[in-house]
Amino acid sequence: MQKAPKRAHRIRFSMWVSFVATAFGISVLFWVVLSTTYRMTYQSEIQENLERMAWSAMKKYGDADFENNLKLIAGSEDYFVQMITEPGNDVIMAYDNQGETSGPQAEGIIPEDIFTRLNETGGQYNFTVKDTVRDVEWAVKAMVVANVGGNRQVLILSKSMANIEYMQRLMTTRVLLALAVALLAASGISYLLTRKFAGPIGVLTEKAQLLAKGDYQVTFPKRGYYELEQLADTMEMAAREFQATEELRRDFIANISHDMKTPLTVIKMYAEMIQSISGDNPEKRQEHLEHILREAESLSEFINNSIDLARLQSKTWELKRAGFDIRHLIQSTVELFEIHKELEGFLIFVEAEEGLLAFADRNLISRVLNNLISNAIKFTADKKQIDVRAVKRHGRILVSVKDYGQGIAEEQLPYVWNRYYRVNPHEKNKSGTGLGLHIVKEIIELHGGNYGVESRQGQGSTFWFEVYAWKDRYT
Amino acid sequence: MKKRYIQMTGVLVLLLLCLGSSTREERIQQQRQAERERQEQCYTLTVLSPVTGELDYIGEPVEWTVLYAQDKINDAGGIHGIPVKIYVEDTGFIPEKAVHSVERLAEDQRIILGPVDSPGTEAIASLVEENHIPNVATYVYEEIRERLAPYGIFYMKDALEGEKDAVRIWKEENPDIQKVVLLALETDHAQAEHARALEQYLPAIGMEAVDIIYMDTDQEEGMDAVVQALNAKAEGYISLVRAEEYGMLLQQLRKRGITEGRRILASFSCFEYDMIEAHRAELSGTYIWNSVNLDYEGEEWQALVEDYKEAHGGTSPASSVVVDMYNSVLAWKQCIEELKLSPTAGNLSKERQMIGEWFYNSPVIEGIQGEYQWIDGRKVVDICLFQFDEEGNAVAVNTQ
Repeated sequence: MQKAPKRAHRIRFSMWVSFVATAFGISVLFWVVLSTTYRMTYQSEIQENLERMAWSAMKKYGDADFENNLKLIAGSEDYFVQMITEPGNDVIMAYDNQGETSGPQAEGIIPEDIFTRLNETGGQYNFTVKDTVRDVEWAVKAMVVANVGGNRQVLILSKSMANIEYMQRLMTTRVLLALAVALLAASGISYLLTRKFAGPIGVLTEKAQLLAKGDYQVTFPKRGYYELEQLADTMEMAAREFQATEELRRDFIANISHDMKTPLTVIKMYAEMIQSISGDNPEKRQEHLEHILREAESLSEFINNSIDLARLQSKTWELKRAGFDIRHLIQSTVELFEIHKELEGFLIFVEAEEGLLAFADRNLISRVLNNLISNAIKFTADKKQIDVRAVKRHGRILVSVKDYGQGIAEEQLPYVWNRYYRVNPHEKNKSGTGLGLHIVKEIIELHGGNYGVESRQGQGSTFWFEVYAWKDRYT
Repeated sequence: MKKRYIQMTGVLVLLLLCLGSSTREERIQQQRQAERERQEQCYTLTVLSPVTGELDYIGEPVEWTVLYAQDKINDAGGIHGIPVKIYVEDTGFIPEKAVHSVERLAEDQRIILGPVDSPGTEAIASLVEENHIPNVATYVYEEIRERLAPYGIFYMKDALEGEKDAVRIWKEENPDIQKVVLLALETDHAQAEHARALEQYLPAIGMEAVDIIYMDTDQEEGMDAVVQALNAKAEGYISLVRAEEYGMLLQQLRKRGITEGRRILASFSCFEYDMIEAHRAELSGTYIWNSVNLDYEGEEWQALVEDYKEAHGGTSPASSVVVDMYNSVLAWKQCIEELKLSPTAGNLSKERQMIGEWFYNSPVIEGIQGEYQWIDGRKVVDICLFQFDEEGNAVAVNTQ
């Protein structure tokens, strides 16, 4: 069984978490850096001072005031000072941090192998050691100051680093306090900011939900920051698009229902008439059968167009490009409309050079011509003339179909290529399925060609398209 | 035809006139030469020395010494009865000045003494090589002497040779000392080189260098080296440093448990009266070597010392350069006498070659402090090892 997907957190919660985490992270980082650098700096200072004092004491060796000098160093610098000698690390003298003579320093401070270590370090050795008794670290400096009878004498200065521990504990408590304050402040700031940012987003979300429920009249208030205003504009644009699509969908359903129902109704009606009335009357029966056939044809055309369009839009239609004479194609297409010439007195003029070869899918281009000429016939006016031209231009073949009909209003021109769009949806005999030009568009786009329309109301329209010429098909 | 004849005659006359004038010119030169010889009649020698400048404490004693030697030679009748004249040219410790001097001297001098400093000698080496002019100067390196042979001659004993001789004699005097530390100045490449060479040499005489310690006077005024030296737990200490640094080193070592002075050997480079005066107490029992033995009992030397003191406010000659340059001038005299050369050079290049060969591998020469000779341009002479007594007087331990 699949797990339910995790819900995203609210922006308020996320912002609060981010602020608090940032405040926490910065505080911890601050404490780590401070603590480490403090420790390093303090240790470094202690070592430098030990170095300086060791040299100062060393230079006094052999002078009358050598021992007094050691006491002074011990007392003033808070050091433990002692001198040891080989071979058994015997303590020659020792002074505590009060500058008073004292016993040897705690065991473990001076390593047993100090002289071996000094062999390796050129007579000077700096180290830190943990005093397990007092649980404190010591910084130690050892330096050879004499060699008496072959036995080295070593001066050892050591300083407790208890202060560092104390200061670190103090710093930790201070930082914890600062952390608590930072967390409170972070919470407060995050609350104020989320109100400022999340509020308008919440409003937009509510409006979007209304849009999703189908309220296409909803408006999106432009409040807050620039990005939110942009979002509101985008949501409004989406709402308008949804509204237009919904209208188209309704129109389509209405149209498609009508385009399918109407012929079916007529077919049914005439079939019933044949059954009940004209079945025995050959003349009437023939007439009724012709109606049925006509409507069946219309329905078939509609279904075929819809199927073709679906295939074209799904991009599964395989183009079968080849070279063919465009003039011949135009003429053969025009011949399909002979009946209109005979019955309605149409004049269809073809103007194209002989031998003008196109490189395209012949059947689809034939379809294009068919649709354009069919439209031209449909939308013609008093002057029943249609001009079909084909010329070679810049390596392409430009084919145009011009009618002298009612023309198309300028504001409608951008939409004529849209699916189900009808220029005069209410003029039933001129409206069609709204698919013809869309199919033309899909076919020409599939060929990578251009297409367009020029029209003036009351003067007619010229629909045109371009395909590759045979010779220039590779350019 | 007539015109051509006149032209040819004109050319001939011109040629004769030129010939005549050059012949005349030669005659004038010869006359002048003879005049000069009649008037001067002396053997000349030029010595290059840094009488002024940074190295004047060496250059001035050189000047005094060579002029002293000149006087001594002339007092004894000169060379074949002809006096000698020594010219000292001051290089100011500036190599370019030495080069300009040699460029001029290369025209007519048979031999040049000096410079007594390495930079000056290096600067003129190529001129010496080019002109094949014998030069008794500071040719420290064997490779250069070989390249310039027989014209590049080292006027003094090689310092490293001296160090080795001193250590050997010191070991003979103190057979129990085996493990030693060597101390050299970090910034002195020659000292460092000598320290490394000594480190290699010591096993041959039954010693071992436990450490080479480089003194950095910027680090706690050199005390870091003292700590290292004490830490090394050596039986002996060989110092190659100069007087100032040695004084500090000696003082610290003696103060910090090195009670036996015999365990310390110092190089000739720190043999300075100022240092000796300042550290008389600490010097007791320590050793130091030098190429010159101030207490040498020879009459000639004692006379020189007295005259030197008189000229220098009572200061004795401490540097071996006095002995070396005196010996070099006397060697030149001996060379001229043995080769029977006249004051003025005849065949200059031939005479230069003869003089160079004489010096480069010389006979054993009786110097002002004993015998010495040159072998392949290198001076072979015994060093003097001194041990300071309780009063801080340097007493020769092993003189030959």
